[in-house]
Amino acid sequence: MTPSESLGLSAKQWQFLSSPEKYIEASTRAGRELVLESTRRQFQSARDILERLNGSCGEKARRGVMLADDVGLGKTTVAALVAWVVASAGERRGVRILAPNDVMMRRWEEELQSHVAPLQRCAPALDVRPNRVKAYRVGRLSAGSIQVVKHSYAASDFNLACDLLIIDEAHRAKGEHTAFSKALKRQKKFARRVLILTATPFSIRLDELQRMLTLIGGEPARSPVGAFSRALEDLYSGSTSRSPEIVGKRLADKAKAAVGALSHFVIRHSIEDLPREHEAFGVRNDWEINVPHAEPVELELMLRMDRALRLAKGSGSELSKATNDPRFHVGWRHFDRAVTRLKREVPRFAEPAKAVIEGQITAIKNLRTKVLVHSKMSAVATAVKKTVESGEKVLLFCHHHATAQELTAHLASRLPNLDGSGLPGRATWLNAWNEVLAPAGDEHHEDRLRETFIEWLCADLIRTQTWAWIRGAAASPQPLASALRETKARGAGRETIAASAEHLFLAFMKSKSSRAVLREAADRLELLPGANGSSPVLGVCEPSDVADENFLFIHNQQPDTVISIFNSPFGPDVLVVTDKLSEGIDLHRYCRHLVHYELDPSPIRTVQRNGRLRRVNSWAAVTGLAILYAYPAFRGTRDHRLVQIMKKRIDSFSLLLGGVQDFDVDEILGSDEAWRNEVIADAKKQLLAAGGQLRAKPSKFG
Amino acid sequence: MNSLDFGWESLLRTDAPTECALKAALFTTYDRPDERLIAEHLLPLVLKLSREPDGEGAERQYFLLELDERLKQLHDKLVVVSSTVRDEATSEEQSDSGAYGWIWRSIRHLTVGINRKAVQHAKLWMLHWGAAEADGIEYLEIVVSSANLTRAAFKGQLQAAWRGCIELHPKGSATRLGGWGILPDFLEALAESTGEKTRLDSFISLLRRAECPTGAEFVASVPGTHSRHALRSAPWGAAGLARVTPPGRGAVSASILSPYIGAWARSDIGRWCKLFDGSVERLRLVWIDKNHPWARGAKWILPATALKTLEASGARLLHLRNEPDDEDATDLFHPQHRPADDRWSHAKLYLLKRGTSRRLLLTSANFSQSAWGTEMSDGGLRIENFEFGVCVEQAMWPFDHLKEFESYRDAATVDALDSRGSNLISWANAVWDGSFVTIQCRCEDWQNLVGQILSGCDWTEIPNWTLGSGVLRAARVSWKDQGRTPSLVQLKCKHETLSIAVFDERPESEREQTVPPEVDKDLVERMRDELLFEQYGGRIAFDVEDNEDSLEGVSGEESEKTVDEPDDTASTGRSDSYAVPTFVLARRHLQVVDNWAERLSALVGQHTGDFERKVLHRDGKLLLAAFRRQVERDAKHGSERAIGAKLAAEELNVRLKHFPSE
Repeated sequence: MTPSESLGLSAKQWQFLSSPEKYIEASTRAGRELVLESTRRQFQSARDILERLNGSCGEKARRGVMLADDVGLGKTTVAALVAWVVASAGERRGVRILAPNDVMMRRWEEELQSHVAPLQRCAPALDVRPNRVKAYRVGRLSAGSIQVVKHSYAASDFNLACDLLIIDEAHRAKGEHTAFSKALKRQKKFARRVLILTATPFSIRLDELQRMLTLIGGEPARSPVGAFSRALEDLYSGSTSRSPEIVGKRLADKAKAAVGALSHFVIRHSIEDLPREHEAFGVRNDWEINVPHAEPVELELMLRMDRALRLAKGSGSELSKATNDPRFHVGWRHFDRAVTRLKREVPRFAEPAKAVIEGQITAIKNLRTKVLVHSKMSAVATAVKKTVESGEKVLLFCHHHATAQELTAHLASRLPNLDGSGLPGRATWLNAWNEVLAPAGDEHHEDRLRETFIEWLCADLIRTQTWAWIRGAAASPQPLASALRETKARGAGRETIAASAEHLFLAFMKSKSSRAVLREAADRLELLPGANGSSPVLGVCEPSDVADENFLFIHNQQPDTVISIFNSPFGPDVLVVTDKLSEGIDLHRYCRHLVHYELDPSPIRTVQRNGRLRRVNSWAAVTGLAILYAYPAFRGTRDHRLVQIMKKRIDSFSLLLGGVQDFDVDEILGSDEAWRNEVIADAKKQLLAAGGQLRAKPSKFG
Repeated sequence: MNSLDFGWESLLRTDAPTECALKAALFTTYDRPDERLIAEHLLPLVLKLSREPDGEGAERQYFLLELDERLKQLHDKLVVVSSTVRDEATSEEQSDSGAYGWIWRSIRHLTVGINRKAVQHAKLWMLHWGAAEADGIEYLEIVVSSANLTRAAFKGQLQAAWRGCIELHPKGSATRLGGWGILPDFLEALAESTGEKTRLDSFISLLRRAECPTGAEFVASVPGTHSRHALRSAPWGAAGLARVTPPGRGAVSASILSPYIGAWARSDIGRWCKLFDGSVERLRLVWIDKNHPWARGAKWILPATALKTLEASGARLLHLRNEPDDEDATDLFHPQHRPADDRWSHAKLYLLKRGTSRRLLLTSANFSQSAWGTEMSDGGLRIENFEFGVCVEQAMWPFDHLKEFESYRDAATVDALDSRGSNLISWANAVWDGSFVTIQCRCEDWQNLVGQILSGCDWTEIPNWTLGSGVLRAARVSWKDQGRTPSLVQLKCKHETLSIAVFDERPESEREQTVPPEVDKDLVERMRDELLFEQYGGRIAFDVEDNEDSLEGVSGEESEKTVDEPDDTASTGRSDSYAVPTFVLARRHLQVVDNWAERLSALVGQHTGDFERKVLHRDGKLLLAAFRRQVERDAKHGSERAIGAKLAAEELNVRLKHFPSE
């Protein structure tokens, strides 16, 4: 370990971290409620990081720290607190944050801003001001500011000179030759301190993890980390004829040694290790969606397609690299498109492949007349409908756009439209909402946006939803306004309908893109999710090219508005998304149902998805009901196999510090996977104990 | 011998590339060909069978069916020529070979002597190897040896052999044929003697396409009386030796290793030596003493009179010693040869030396006049045997160090040579065309000729000999019952009995229905289908009775457990894949179709692929029928299981419609 000069901070400057209660109170006043247990742990982490980076309270100053908490534990919060201390503790220090994309940049900006008011109140030793946050502004870092830029900025000609460089979602830097990886290697000398955030340290390739360790001065850990990484590699690629006990012991020993060495540089908490916080996160349960076994005719369709594409490929077609495309197992839309494309190509094939493929296409067309809706889609729609009817929101993840489009369209066809019939008239609602959301004295510059927002609240879908929560109220503005002020949204939770609407409006105001959408929506209200038609379903993916379905999808690349709405009680009850929304964002405030309609081959991705709902102050925690994760599996197809393997792998995710590998379902041997599970089971006890060593240390000085 | 291996199976190996498949073969032998040797050792190697003959239960049945199937593919393409197959005293070999009598339905077994008494003593193999897909090159492999097609010859004797594997040109040429010396004439004469003049033409055609290996020359004998004039153009027997003797001046010395020495007269030996510029004084015979193990049971035979003749003529006997417990006191043939090896040498080797030049002749011909011929007064030769040998330059002679017998009295001798018997029936042939069994034979005493036809365990008398004249007789017996396959014809004349296998000349569609008698009729269809799939890369059930779903390793039923529960198939090993069973099955079946199609496309543009094309067309039709049956079998376990076979059948049907014309 290379000794580093102190950052020159004083432990007094983060004294506020010793009083989470006071901070929570200040935060609540500023409109953000926090949970004590989680805040305490986050503060402890922030304090530990500051002590290590600065060299305080008996810690030697070190070049960097890696924060590797499980998804949903609030790494962003911890890092934001550290950033504020470093940037606003005088001495003209600057902080740079590298975020993976625009969504995450906005998230960072929000997170940093959310601490301004409480810090101003609780941390008098700091000079916290909103304008210190410089999101999207690239270039020279002015003293005392916190600059938030995208990963790609690291590769620019600018150097990242700063006192603290925070690298978020560092596991995205996969491979030695990625531009990001190269850029970090080049930039490391310009940053005095580095804080790396990742939920999955051992999901990064060994080379990459070693490079990350180099960035934070963790060279002494390289050897034991390499040994554990190789033991993990051996678990997935080595001979499975060996004794599981011996391999399990070796794995556990290496893990212990790696954790011991890493504990100087890495802080990590696993949700499973934090029973006192479980209540705040919500209990996790499986949601069984019973998908019937694939019918022979469905299997035949897939097999015929597989065959036709294989032959086409052998005849020089570049139509599809994956003949047994995972999309064929979970929907028909992409399948039908593939048939159409194949048919166009057939004339240029030579005999006998041409005749064979033509025969397959004819047979496929005949069979498709017998198979209309995909069995899995139908089963999932039934379960989703029932859930929505019980007043819940549902989040569905797909891996491919075509699947997301088809699922969105099918769900929309199955769920009843919320068309505003039988409700008090729109004018009544307008009056009521105008009364409820009257602007405060100094907010008249937002009047136009507020009007648009109220227009949206009076759209058919939102009105129908809201009426369902206050059913029984008198159908005139005054009692309606009262009901909105008094009734809890969605019949539970911490907020009234009026408060929820207010919070949503504030969220819109905080987001540049949402404000832009709201401004534009003044003339085209349909730009706001929930105002375009009466379907409670929204697809956040590439929009379908079927004209009739156009209204079911958002048509811009800025999902902030959708995220804000889904995090409110209003708007679409069902959100179908792709993995673009699987990282970093919160979708937990009014949703506790998640369906993995289509899995990504990466267990990390699955864990990340689950993290969208299992967060502090989740809807599950508020309602006291469990978070439900559904892994519907289309029996008799590869989809079923994929789910079987995935479930096992994510079970051991935390245990192996994220060291679970991506897989190709067709390459996995059942006996090998059983052996691996046995090894992990044997190593479990020791691994659990080892993992705990990485928790943040309580300060020696209280 | 170009194989350094000294094991008994080394002769059965091939130098053709592994991917090559046998298209045709000729094997010649003196002794009655041993079906067990052929079926259990020779054919599995040359046909590259995947099953072992000594398996039990289903494995054995698969072996038999696979062998039968491959023989059907090569129907009438394998030819064995031997001497007549008189029933000798029942030996162990004969008694336990009967299980494979059915192989002769597809292998053409011919005997020599239709026109005159003749002994087929050559041991010549010619194997035509089809092209490996990668390079399109065909091969002719020629083996010249001293080995008969019997287990005793392979396991109980030491043999000498020469092997050449020669690339075949796409088209033939007369020049290349001329390069083979006497071999084409030998094949013509052999075919004529079997009564099937054109039977070996295809092998002569192969010689047109192959360059004779440099340095190899052939020496052959064919029975008959050959004038001096005729011997100039076709130097049979000892006349051929003059052609292979090292050129130059000075006398030629000859060293001989032969287990059988004929009854030579002094003058005959001298004349024999003169034919190649040699002299009896320069003749060396490698021989054994009376205590040598090979002297017991008359394995090595030297008539006492011949020894006297040799001694008196000035020939010298070199002592080949053997002390089973003493390597130093034993003269060994090969670095791997051990004194305790109980095999006796059946090799016939002749070293011809002139000055420093030496030629080694490796042949079937013993040192006898039957083999080399008796010189007649006009300078011609009278020869009794078909013999064949190859002569190579400067080959090693492992007996240079042998010392002469101190006393010739120590040499092992016999008093007299056995008589070859009356040989009343000197040639026979039997075929079945689905309507008639036709039997032909040459019988010196046809009035006393009787015969019967064997089918299963039942004998049917041959009612009368209605055809032919003189010593050549024939009978035509009506035989239309396809369920009663005639397998053997036994002919008797006085005390002589001769058995011949019945060759199946029925149309292909009828032949396909017949299976080896040992095979379980109830399982035959399924096993044949599976073997066919296997031949094209499919997988097979190892034990049909133990594995009802017939495709090992694929669980037909999806687990009905929830996705949380571990998959039984993964832990029990019934399925070792997370891949979907229906897909695995389908891909396995379609892989068979792919492999078939790939072989077909590899043939496109090849000039020599007619045989392969026919085989593939036949296999394509068989596969189509097999997949259709598989659909029915799989459907019993659920319709989704049958999808794969259905798609395979459907695709094969389309592909067969586009099968390229010749």
